[in-house]
Amino acid sequence: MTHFINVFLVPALFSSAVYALVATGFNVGVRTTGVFNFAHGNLVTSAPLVVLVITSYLGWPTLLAFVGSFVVVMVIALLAERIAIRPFMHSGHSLPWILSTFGVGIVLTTASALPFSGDPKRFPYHVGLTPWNINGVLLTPVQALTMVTAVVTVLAVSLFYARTSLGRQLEAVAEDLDGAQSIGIDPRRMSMISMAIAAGLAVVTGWLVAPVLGVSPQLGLTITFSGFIAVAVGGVGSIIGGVVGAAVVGFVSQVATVWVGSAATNALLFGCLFLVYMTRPTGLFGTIKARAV
Amino acid sequence: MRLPDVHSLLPAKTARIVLRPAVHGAVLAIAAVALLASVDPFSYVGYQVQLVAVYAIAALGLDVVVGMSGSLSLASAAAFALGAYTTAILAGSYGWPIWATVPTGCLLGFVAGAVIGLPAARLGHIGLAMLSLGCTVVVVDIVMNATDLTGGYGGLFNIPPLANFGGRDPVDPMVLGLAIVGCTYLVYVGHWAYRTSAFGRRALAVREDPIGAKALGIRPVLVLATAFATATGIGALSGGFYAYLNGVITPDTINWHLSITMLAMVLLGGAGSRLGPLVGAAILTVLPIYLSRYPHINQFLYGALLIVVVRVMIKGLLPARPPALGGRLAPFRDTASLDTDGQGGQNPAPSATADAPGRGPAAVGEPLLEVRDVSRGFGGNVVLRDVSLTVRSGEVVSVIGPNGSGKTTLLNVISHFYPPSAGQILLAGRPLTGTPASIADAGVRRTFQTPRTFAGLSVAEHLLLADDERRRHGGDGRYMTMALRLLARSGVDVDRGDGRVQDVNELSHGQRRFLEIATAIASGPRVLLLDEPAAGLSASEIAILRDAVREIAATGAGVLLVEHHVDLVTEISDKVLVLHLGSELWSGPPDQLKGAEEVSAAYLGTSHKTTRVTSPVQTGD
Repeated sequence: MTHFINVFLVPALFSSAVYALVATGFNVGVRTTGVFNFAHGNLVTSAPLVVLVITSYLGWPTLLAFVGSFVVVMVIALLAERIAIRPFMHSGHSLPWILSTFGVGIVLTTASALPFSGDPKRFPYHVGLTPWNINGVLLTPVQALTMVTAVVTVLAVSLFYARTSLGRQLEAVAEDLDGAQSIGIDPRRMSMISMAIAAGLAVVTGWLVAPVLGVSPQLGLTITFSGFIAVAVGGVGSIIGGVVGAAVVGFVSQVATVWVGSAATNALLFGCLFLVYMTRPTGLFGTIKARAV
Repeated sequence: MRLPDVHSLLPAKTARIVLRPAVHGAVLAIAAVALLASVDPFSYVGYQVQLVAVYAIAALGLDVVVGMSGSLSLASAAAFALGAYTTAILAGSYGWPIWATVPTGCLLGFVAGAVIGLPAARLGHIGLAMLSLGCTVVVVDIVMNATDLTGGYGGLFNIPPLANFGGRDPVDPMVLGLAIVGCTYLVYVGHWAYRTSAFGRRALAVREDPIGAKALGIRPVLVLATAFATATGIGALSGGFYAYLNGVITPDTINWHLSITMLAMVLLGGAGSRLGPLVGAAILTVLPIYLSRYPHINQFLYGALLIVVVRVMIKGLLPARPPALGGRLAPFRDTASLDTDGQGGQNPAPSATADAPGRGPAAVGEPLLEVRDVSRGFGGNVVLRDVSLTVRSGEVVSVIGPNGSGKTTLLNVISHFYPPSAGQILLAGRPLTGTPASIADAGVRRTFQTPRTFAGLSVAEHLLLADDERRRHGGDGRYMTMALRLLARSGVDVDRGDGRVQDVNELSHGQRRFLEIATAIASGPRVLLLDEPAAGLSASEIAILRDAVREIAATGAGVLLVEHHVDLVTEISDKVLVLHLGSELWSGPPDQLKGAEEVSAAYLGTSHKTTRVTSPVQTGD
């Protein structure tokens, strides 16, 4: 039993937590802007890369490097929002923004292949990878912190939408762009804010996963693809749906790793996406409106 | 950036011939072959020419999805890999000749595309984009891991273009070059043949307005799946040639960047245009070769290109323009000019003829469309309650009522955009059920409150689109003649005569309304549902509308008209139904409408007496 927990359950919960963070980042953006930011995975992987670049090339202290990476990713994200998302906010046409956000993702992937010749790097800054032994159950501090962060983030984001004035303004734009505008809400500002929140989530996600997954240029697309599956399975725009979708992605990936072979991970995830689309195109928690997005 | 128009440089007849892909494509192909013959096909230049041709095949195939259908496929790399590895394996391990391997790959690509495309097409643009990206990701995984078959990371090296089964010697490089250029020529001609066929028209109609397309009997899922399968098949064809040309295929060449590259080719050149994908392929094949000395610059270029193209030049270097197909309507036009002066005049409609209509509907007076106790709710909100009406053959029935009374919902329920919650709808005595497209197939055609026309299609193509649907069911060309007459009266030139086409975006609101009605008429309706056709029309336009409605009813079709314009209703209706709050308030002959007190009450409010004296149904919109 402890073997099952250590080999399957803990890693599955860890990757579920990771994808819950990724899915929440996706959903925060798509709720307000109607645009799916296909560069989100690249924002996630940019954060640890920038930390490494600052410490290795500039020799700054670690803490400053973390702050620096936050600032850099935030600037990149807000630039991306300005050129690739805002012009297509709730435009009704999806093709332009699929292309523009993919374009941002490609530029970021290429840019992240520049430092360290694009070689995969270890990420040495973390709270600990030596597992605690809790009655035979092995849990690393990084895993624990990621799970706690995911739970706190999902709760905080849900409360933010439900309880705060800013959250309700973001929702108003999501519901009815023109209506929100007519009562004085500036959609451009809302688009910026939603991107800032999504980018903040991406940075934290990046810091947490890098010690486990390492830092490499191609990781961004993998995270985007798996994160998209989590969102599609859960229902586009639904925070809780994203969490459920993330659990599906986390557990299916771990089934692949443990019992099928990790080469089959993408195929199994793809199968999941296909299955959900065939049976419930809106996702588990999606609404009809979300489908039209 | 805009190239000079061929029409302004050459006489009309010459321009028409030059613009034919079979003609200028042949010139390009001969030039390419001449170049190949003058330099060695194995030389640097020779290789580049063939590489451009190979990528052009893939880009032209992808354009069927991206340009014509307006959807996004990221499966190009998967299709390319399927063709390349099929060819490499069959040629290398089994000794198949080139004329067997490449078509096999192409066929496999088409089948795989159909298998993935049929379900994926249901999911809209994002679903198709992500499922097709998934295809590429999974295919790369398979190639990496099925080492016995694909050679894994190392790839496959021995790919001889053999001349026949069991042969030992590869064909002459020039033969391979000829095959590549020849196939590119065929794909180039086929690409535009697709665009100018019913397939292309349906794809564009679905791209521009899926709802309007369904109302004509077009099935968006089938249209998109066909386009996807075609693109995958052509992509695999391109991959097969690539394997022969390079003599080696490795997983490095088929990752998702390749999908993006091909997408960039189509968008840069001009999605949906005749020459665009070819030009885009040429630029993005040759340019990277010169830029390859700067590492990473090409990937930056593709990424930046996607953003720039989408932001500032969404139509690409050579914007798509509809083909001039007005000539195909010529056989119908002759009759049209006999019946009317055709110059936008206000001459009255020809007397209602009692000819037997095209598809032999019930004799005049037989019930055609019967709505029996139909209700429709949305959530707890009942919008239609127990509404019944009958439209007989050759009859015009009008539905009026205040805004929000359920008129448009009634049309949506009959055409099954919203199926009824309760009750029954019959067409010529048989139950009318199914999807909006199958309702349209049964002959129930409709128009919408806001005219739904298809921006990328020319006026002539709208009529051809309708004619494609009419032909599927038989029926004569009389409907097309009628449609052409209607357009002529409203001042719309179907063909401007100089080889240029009439752009839908240049039409006035009224003309666009008439184009929508003409399209519905040309499709040979048994029952025509018109949703507020007179809204926004001038008095003279309303006269044209009145004549058109009378004319279509004279063919034996039933017309159900939802309208606010009470004069028009009184003038042309055989029967009027007044809806109020979703229920029938009054029905009877139009001449008794103005005297009906309950109708006045409904329009002016029942709870309070009003001192204003108004004609009952002059509310308008």
